[in-house]
Amino acid sequence: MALFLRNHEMRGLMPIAEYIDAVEQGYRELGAGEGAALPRENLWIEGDARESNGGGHLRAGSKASFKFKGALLPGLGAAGLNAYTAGLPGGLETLFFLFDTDTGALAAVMEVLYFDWLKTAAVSALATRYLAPPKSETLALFGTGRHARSQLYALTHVMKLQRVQAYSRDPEKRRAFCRRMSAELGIDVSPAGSPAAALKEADIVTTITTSPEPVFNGAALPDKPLHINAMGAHYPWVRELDEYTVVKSRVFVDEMAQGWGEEGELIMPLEAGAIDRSHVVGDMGALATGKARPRESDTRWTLFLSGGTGIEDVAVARRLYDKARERGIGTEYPFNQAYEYEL
Amino acid sequence: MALLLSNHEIRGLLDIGDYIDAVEAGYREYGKGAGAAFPRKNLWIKGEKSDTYGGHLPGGSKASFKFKAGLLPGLSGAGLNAYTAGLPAGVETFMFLYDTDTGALAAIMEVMYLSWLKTAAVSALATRYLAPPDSSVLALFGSGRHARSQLYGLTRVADIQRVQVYSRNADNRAAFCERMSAELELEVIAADSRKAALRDADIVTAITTSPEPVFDCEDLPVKPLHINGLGAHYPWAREIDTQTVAKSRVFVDVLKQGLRENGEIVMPIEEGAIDERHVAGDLGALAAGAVPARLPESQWTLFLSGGTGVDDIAIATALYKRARERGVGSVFEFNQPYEFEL
Repeated sequence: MALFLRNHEMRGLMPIAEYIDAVEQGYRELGAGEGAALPRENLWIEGDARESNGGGHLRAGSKASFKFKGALLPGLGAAGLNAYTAGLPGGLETLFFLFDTDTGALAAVMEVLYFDWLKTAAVSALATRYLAPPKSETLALFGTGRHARSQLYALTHVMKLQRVQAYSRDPEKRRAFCRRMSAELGIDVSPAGSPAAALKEADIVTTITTSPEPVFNGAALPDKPLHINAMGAHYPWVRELDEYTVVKSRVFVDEMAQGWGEEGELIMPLEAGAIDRSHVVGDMGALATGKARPRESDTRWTLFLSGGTGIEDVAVARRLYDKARERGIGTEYPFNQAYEYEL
Repeated sequence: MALLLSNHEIRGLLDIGDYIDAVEAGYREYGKGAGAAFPRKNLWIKGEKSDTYGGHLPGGSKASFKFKAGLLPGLSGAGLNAYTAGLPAGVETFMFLYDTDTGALAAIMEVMYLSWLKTAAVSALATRYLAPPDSSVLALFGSGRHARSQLYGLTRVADIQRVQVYSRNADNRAAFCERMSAELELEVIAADSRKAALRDADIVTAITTSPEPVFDCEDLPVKPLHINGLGAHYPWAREIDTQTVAKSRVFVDVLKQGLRENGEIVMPIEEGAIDERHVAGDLGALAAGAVPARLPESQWTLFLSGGTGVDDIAIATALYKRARERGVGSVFEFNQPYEFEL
C-alpha cells in the first residue's frame, strides 16, 4: 500500500520544530557516513518556444527542465527522489517518491511544495543554530515572498529574534509583508529603505529571493560577527551574494557535492580564481556530527549556502509519512495486485 | 490528474510490435540529440542482513536503491524509474512519468510487466539493425520468463526457424522448450551443452543472471552473427567473455551508461584488451543512422544492454497514451487547493 499525500493534507501534520529536528537527523546520518545523496540533476528541454515561462533561473536557450535529486538514509529506513519540472505551463510540479529501505516498498507519493516551504526554512534555521553568533537578535531579510515568511517562523525557533529589517524590490510588498509579520510574530518587522539600511547592525542576514544577481554589496555588511544564510537561486550562473562576501566569510554548504555543483556564489569566485575548494569548510553533515567547527575564535562572518538537498527531502518526508500513518491522513493506493507474465 | 497503472492493467495495452516501434522512436529522438538519459545510479544500503538477492551485488552490500532517468521532449515525456533491490519486498520498481508539454506528473506505473516486454523490444530492435540478413537460427542462453519475451520479440524481427536453448537446469530448459515450441510453432530445442546451443547460430541471445561468461568464444561459429548480451549489468558481472567482446563490433544501449555498467566492457578495458573506442556506438546512433550497423568486414556484432531511461520514457509515453484512450488505470487528483499557512 502506497500512501498518497497532497499539499493540503500535509499542512498541520507537524510543527516547524519537528521539521528542524528531522533535517538535523538526516544530516547527522549523512555526516556519520550512513547515507548517500544524489545532487540535483537538471535535464534541459531545449528549443522550447514558451519564452514567457523562462524566468531568470534557466540556462540561456533552455526554457524548461526536468529535475531530480535523491538520497538514501538507511538509518531512517528511507530513500527517495524528488522530481519536478520547471519553466512549463503547469508551473512547478514537484513530487516526492519515498521508498521504505527496510521492506523495499514504495511507501509514499507526496506533493512537495507545501512541505518544502517549511523544510527550506528548517534548513536555514538549523544552520543558524550552528553558526550564528550568540545572542543574535537582529535579522536582515532579503526577499518578502512566501518563503521569507516561513524563514521567520523557523528562525524564531532557534534564536531570540527582536527585530527584522526587510528589503525587497517592490516597496508595496515589502510594507505589506512587514505589517503582516509584525502582527503575526509580535516583534518589530520593519521595511528597510535600501539594502544597506537592512544590513545595519544585523546579526543574521538571510537572502531568500529569485534574484540572479547579488542582492547587497558585501562592503555594506557590519564589521562584526554575523551569520548569512543564502537560500535563493541555485544555478552556477546566478548568485545572490557577491564575491567579496563569499571571500570574506567562513563558508558552509548543505551538501558538499551539490554545493560545488550548483551554487553560483561558489562557482563564479572559483572560476575567477578568488577562492579554491578549501574555502568551503564543510557541509551540514559535518556540522551536525561535530566534524567541522562552526566558528573559529577569529571568525567574523559565517555563510551558509543552500539549494535544498535530497537528504532533507528524505528526512522530512519520512517523518511526515509516519505522522500521516499515525493519524490516518492521505489516500492508500493498492499497488502490487496479482499479475502474470503473459502476453 | 495523474494516472496510476498497475502491472495487470499494463498487460494487453500494447502489442510487442508496438513496444519495438516505441523503443525505436525513443532511440531515434535520443540519437538525434533531442533527448537526455541519466545513467542508472545505485545507492548501496550497507549492513542490511537480507540475503534475498543474487550474485550481482558487491561484497558486503546486500541491498540498494536504484534509479535512472530519461527526457524525450519529442515524445512529450520525462521521468524516473526508481526501485529497490535485495530487500524483502523483492524488486519494487516504479516509473514516474512527467508530461514535458504541460510539466505535470502524468503517470505512476508499475514496471515489472512493462519491463518484461520492453527488454525484449530493445534487443529485437538491435537485432533488426545488426543481425546478418536471413538469420534463422537462434542460440538462447537462459530459460526464465525474460527468455520467453525475448522469443516473442525476436520472432517479430527475424524469420527464426530454430531456437537452441541452453540453461543450467535441464528440467527448466526442457519445460521451456516444450512450452515455446507449442506457443510459437517453431522448433525450440534444448541443447545439451553451451557449444551445442551455438552450432550454426545466426543470433545469440544471453538473458541470464550469471555473473560469469555463459559460453566460450572458441565455440562461436566463424561466420557473420549477432549477439545480444542482456543479463547482468554491473561492472563486476558479465555474460560474455573478453575474447568475444574484443572480436566483435560492439554497440550498447546508451553510451555513457553502457561504458560504465557492463562488465563485458569494463573488465576488458581493465585487462587492456580493448579501449572505449572499441564501442562503435549506441542504439541512439543506430536508430538515427549516425553509425553504420555492419561493416563489410564485420563478422560478429554484439549489443549490450541493461535498460535505460530512453527506453523507459519511450515505452511509458506510449503506454500512457494508450491507457488514456482506453480508460485503463486509476486517476488520482493531485493539485488540490492549499495555502502556504502554518
